[in-house]
Amino acid sequence: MIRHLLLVILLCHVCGPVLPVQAQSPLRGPASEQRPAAPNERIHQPADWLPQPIRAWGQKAMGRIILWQAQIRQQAGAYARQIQENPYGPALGWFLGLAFVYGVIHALGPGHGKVYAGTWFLTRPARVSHAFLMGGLMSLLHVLAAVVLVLLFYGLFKASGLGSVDTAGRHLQRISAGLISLVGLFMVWKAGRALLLGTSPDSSSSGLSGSSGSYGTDAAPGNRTGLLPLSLAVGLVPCPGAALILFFAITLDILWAGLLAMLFLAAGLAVTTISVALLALLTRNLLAQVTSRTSLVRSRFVHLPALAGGLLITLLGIILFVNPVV
Amino acid sequence: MPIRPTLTLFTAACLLMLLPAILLTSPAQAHPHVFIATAIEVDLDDDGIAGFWHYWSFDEYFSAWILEEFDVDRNGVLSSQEQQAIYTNTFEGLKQEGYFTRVLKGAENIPVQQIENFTVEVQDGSVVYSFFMPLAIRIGSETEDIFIAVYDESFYCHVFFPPDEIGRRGNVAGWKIDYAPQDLPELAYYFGFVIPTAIRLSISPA
Repeated sequence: MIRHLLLVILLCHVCGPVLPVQAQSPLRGPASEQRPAAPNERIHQPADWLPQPIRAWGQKAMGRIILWQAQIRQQAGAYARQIQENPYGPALGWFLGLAFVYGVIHALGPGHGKVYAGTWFLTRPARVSHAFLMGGLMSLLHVLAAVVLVLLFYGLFKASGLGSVDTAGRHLQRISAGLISLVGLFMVWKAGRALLLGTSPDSSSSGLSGSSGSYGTDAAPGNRTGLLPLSLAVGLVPCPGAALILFFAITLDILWAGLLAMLFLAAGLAVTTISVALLALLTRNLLAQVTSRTSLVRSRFVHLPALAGGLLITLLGIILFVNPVV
Repeated sequence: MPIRPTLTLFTAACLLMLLPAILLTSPAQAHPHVFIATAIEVDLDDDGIAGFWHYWSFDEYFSAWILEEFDVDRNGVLSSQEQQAIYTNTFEGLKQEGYFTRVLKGAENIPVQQIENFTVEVQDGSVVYSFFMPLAIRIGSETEDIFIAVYDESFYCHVFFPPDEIGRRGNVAGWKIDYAPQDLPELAYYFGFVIPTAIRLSISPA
């Protein structure tokens, strides 16, 4: 099963951009104009590109992930009710532990910044610490945005309900998309300039560095310019799953436990996001070790991946901006 | 020429990064935030299947949210006005999604266009939507296969369907029905990794 999960994480990264962020609730707001395709209008699915056995593994793993999420949430709900009766009993530990596990599994789905983290680390040199920074920051902000919205609307404005948070989330999503596009454009500009000017990889902040000329994480720290803005832009979108759990805690009058659970949930989300970032970093470093042995890829063309990554992030941001409810 | 395999690798890496962009034409979906348990009854008349009665039981997290927002008088019972507000704000928009329901007669798609008798109850802390989906499916003298699947392609909700049992009402004596779950891989969603399971009703005159 671990193999299945790793496979799904990887596939979600590769296929992820088709789902830049989580959709808005179909149970709220105006009717969507988009109708589901009729059976004879079947649209192409990325899984169709995979060999049947891998596709079957992915489908089986996805079924497990969905079921686990439902079971964890149900069990956590039971513990939350026990906390209501006995605030400092053993149920609290279980509740927080389940929040962490839920975060890990919940983030296996699309959204939560894995696509951006993966693209970033696949296309530029970076340190391992950068992966932790980006993954941790994105996850923390993703949950924090939900916490702030729920507290703001419920606590301050007394405007309870999914609608208020959903509407605010839509606006934040558009702002986030705009910022992501800007960060992407910045990446394109930097990589494009290095490509055109023929900047030496060893002297370029977006290229290779280190005396050995390898992309190794220790020898090539890279430049983290843009990392924080991208993390901020992606994390700006509130996590509906976190909002639901916090709101549930509020209705049980255990806000403090709900807020604690948010920390554990964010840590769980971060585990998955950081894992994807590290996987991308490892992949890039392995490729770089091979390619850096030739004179050609020591040239300006090493900036091509960074350019492609910047273009991709810009494109995702634009699509998300134009159609935030995709 | 050591440079050739290296160049190939390098090109492959670039293409790998561009692959997601190529896939961007697919519609976006999201992981489930809301879980829905279901029950269903087939309503039979003299001509065949009059429609289906659906019962959707939401998880307690979403239920808490619904109750907090729409149980205005906080009495744990939803009045007709409160139910109407729930319908308008959380359900009416699903018409464009066919109320998450796909019905097939053999290979023919039967459009789901309306529902009737929408009511909301609270059962053990869970909000339960009940409604009738009129379809008027005429059944001839031969055995016909009807498929019904309930799922959210946007993946915001995960619908647990089909239930273990399917209920019957109306002209039950007039028809012989066998049913079994059946996967419909041609309707796969969420990158093609989630396959809806339908109920296959094999129905013929008794």
